[in-house]
Amino acid sequence: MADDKLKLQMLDGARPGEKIMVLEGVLNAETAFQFRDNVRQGEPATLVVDMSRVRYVDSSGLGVLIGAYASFERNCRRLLLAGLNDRVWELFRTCKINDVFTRYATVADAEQTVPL
Amino acid sequence: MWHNQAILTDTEFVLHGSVGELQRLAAETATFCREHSLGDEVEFDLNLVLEELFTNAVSHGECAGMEKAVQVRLQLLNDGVHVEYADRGRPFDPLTAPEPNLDASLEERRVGGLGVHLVRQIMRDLEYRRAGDWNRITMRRPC
Repeated sequence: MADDKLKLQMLDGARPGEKIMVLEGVLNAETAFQFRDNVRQGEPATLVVDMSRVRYVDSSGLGVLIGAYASFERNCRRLLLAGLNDRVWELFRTCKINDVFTRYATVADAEQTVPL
Repeated sequence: MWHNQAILTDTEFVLHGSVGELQRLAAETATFCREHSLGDEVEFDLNLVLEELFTNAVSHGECAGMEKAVQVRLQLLNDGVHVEYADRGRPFDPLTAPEPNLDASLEERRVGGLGVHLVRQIMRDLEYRRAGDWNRITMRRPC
């Protein structure tokens, strides 16, 4: 897990008002604010976060995900997580936030839940 | 570091009080796991636990900006990886810290406490003592 940085890329989604944020690296105390600041840019109705290349998340990462999710909920928008690896999802379970987020295997799976 | 007996399977490293040290923490942990043929899950857990304690000491324990603020020793024995972690932050016993309310609303849950919760859930045989200016924590990750 050396070279622990986070790369972010924002793409247009397949549906109107949808954006896809592709993450690569780690979501931890060093990178959590970078993620938070990027999430706050723009106000897509739906944001799918592609975490298939996120190797590692710590409690700071969980914290910004929870905060972002709550912010989206307050504003009647949707934040969807795709591609979480098993170990990261186990952290969600340990912290009992697996009942808040739905784990989508792929971005395409998440997009299927977005209204046309 | 804390024992006179030299053990070849030990890894020891010192960290300064900056989150920029997280990369080195991860690199040291990765090297230890690779040298001992430990799997990705063990590496993930060791890195997570050490990072949670380290980040807590820097963010809340007054270790920010402190030279040689944290010492870590990893040792592989028959029953798993034994970890000795020490920081020069203000006294903090993770064993007696309040459990986060995991049933609270999302807004309340993100306030904190998840890091210590993860440490207690992942590691075994956790012990804490305050020795002089140091918080010293020993624990074991079975593998």
